[in-house]
Amino acid sequence: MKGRKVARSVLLGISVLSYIILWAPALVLILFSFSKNRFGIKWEGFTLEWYANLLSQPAAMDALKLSILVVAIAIVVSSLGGTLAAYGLYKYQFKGRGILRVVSLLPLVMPTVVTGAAMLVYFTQLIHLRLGIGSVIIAHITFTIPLSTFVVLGRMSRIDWSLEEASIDLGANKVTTFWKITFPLLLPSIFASGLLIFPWSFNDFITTYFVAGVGVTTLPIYIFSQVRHSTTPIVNTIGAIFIIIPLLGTLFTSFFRNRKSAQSRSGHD
Amino acid sequence: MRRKEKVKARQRSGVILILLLIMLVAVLLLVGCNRGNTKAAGGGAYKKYVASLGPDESPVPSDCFEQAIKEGELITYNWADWWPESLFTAFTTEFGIKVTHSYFADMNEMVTKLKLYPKAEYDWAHPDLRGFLQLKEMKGLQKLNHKWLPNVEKYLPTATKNASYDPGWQYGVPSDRDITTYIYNKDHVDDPRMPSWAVLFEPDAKYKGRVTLNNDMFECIGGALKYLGYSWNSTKESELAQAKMLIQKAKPNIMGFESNPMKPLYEDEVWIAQNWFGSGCRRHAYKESLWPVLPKEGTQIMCDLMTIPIGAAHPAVAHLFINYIFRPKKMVELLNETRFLPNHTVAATMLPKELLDIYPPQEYLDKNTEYITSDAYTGKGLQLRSAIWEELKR
Amino acid sequence: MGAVADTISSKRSSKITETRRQHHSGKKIIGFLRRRAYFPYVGPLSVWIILFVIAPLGIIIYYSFLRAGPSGNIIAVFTLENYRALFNPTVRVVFLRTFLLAFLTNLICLIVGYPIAYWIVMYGGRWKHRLVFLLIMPSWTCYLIRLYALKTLMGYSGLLNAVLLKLNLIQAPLQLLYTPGSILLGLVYAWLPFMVLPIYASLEGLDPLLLEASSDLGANSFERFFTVTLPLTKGSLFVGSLLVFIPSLGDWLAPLLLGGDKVLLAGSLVEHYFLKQGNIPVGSSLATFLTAVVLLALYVVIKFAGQDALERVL
Repeated sequence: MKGRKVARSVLLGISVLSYIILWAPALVLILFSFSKNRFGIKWEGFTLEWYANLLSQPAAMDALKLSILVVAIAIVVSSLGGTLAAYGLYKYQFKGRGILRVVSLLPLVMPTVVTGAAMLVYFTQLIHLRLGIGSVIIAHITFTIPLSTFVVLGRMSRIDWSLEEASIDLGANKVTTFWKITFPLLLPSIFASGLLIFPWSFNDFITTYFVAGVGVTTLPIYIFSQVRHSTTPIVNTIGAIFIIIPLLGTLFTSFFRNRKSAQSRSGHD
Repeated sequence: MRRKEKVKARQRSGVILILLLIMLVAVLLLVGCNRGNTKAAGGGAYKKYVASLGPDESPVPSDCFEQAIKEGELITYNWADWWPESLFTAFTTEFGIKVTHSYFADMNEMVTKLKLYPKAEYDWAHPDLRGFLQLKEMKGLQKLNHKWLPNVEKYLPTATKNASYDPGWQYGVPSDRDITTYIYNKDHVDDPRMPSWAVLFEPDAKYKGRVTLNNDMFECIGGALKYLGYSWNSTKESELAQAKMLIQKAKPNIMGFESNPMKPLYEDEVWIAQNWFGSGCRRHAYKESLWPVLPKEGTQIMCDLMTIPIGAAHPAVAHLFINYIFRPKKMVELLNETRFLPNHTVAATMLPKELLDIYPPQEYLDKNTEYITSDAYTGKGLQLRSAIWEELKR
Repeated sequence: MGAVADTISSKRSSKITETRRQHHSGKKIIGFLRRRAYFPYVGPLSVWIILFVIAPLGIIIYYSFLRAGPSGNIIAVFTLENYRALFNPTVRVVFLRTFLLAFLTNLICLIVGYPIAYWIVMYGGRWKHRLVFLLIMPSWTCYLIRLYALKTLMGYSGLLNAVLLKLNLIQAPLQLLYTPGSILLGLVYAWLPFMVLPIYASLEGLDPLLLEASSDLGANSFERFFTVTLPLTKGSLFVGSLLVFIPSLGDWLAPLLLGGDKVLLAGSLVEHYFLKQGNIPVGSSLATFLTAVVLLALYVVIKFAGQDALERVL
């Protein structure tokens, strides 16, 4: 029993330490984004002026909005395409199966500078697609679809497929079965893949830079570009926003969920 | 049976609806809002424009003006958060021409993107001299119409007009000048060898780990060449080999290669950083102890140039904008913000005294600085430097 | 057994679909589709891959065989000289160094990541989901921003040094940045959550009855872990490693910001050729080489771990 206790505390120790290390820079970021110090490097008193400044910088706000839009579309389309593909890869044996599995990993494996340059040439010289937001979205979908495919594929063997069979036996056609049975079963994996896709797509810089049309600026492009000459600490402010908002969101939803589960619990009894 | 079909139909339509919605949103964004600008261009508008100008401001000819108004948009390609936005909003207010910004984060990336996609629709690109030379070599820039740039004709210094990198200013108009140097922190650094390059490349032992070199092969190797007494643009293998050895020896003493060490400078992490003079002035304005130097062995002089890439869809607007920037008042507004050295005969005299005092005197610039040349930045010079850089970073 | 049931059920369902669709035209299409019931599923992905992955890659491979002009542009002359660049000693050193670094990152992420995932699943209770969310949330901020924040913490006058100095544990500030170790730390810092996530998902999906059964049969916690838990989740280790190893190979941001860009890694080497030297053909040949090597490694690992390693992952 003692060994077990030791193991338990070791696990706890590693986990706690890791969380601290992961969050320390983030907390520092948030703290200094409220600091009067212009460069966000130390504490000099509380102020909200950098947030006000950010809101009045249309370029930064536009970049932020665009990044969010691209990520949202990437998540939706990739989750859909990836889930479908994972389903097909798992359920069926077909000739190109092994190749497809390896090839679909390609976008993740190639260096980003190469994917970017290749897509740029492809869009402009081969298929004559005008660069713009669309080209960025296409690029993002391309390298996030493998993420979704493999995360969902991984769960496939755990799904209770008898439920699907039962639904078909009861007369539902394929679409209904997929939508009402399979999809909800896979939802946790789809959600997990969404969590992965978000940072992957949101942080992407070089590929996006190459395929972006004129006037198309995502947040990483803006941040990298302003680092050369700028003197305002929007970097801290933006970083902080991206932690504060999901944090508030989690607290909010968990508060909601607690109330809901409390209600349902009382309902069941 | 019927109920099941109804349920099926409803679900199917639900899915289709969602997909349609996503596609709609995507299409809307792809197409973009119609940015048509239909300002009625008549002789009246041009007369108003001419009348609104000050005595030291020359208007573009009417054909340029008419075409610019018709084109209606300016797409810029520049570093982010650098030129004051007020310049662009004032331009829009005055001419009713919308300005759309695009950004690049690295000169190499910018050149590569234009190399791979020469017809990119940027109207007004703002590379530095090196990018300019590479773009010019790739034939990626349009020839400028001097008749459409009377302010530039008037105020561009003669020396610049005939500069070696672009005699007759055919492809670009410099918006500023700058020299490569290093910034040091007066509170922590006290070296009698100042203002020599030695402080940077052979730093005193007590500054070990507090020095950064520019993370650009041209800037870094060029500085080393100058320190050794050679030309910044040298393509002699023996000289370059010596420069390589110098940097190789310096490597253990430096913190790292960093082109934008702003934060570390402010944080007192870095005390000696290779950077540019204009940037140094800007840092000094925010942190008193930071000072740029004028290296006694000399350095390179460079500029940022306003150019019109060949893919530009609105070249007349680009000309109008360049002419607009060269109005003395606008140039002063720009230089006050960026704190780069002026490349404008009149604006140079209109800058505040504190700036003029710090700026390098003209004799220094004439005697100790040289423009970069194509030899060094393309072809053989590029190959040699690139190979050295690879070895240094191995 | 499952495959047989699958084929039976799919045959049955497709038969139902067919009778319903008999009034639609194109029996040939139905027949074609029926034989390839997988089409609507992998179809979209395959088409997308052909359009947007294979084709651009084809361009890169094509470029790698063309001659480079004076400013690195492309001249349509076939040549193999770009591949000679691969025998450059720098390339060997850089690739080895990168693989080593990525491997170490992967190892550390495995060693640290598994305990975290295990702890969350076994002892997280009601907070499981929130803990996972909290883990991945810092990754939602721009990578660049996080690295800047890390730099602020680890600098000479950073928080960490300040705390250590105050506690008198050190006399002078430590150099925590601009060493190879800092790059490693940066990489682990960036990619650890991506290792934890798949392992967590896999552990969560473990049938608790299996664990119970092994305890009933007399195994203690340690034995149970090594004989039941770990083997059942080994697929997730593979996926997690995929998500850590491969990005680490191509990462050029951490070496730039945390390492002072004093050494080249594979990602920065490709970038060096592509962007700085502007030599597109040579850059393409390097990229092709890098991609081929990684694909080969993947193929070998998949073969070794078994075809269904990918499926039994989560």
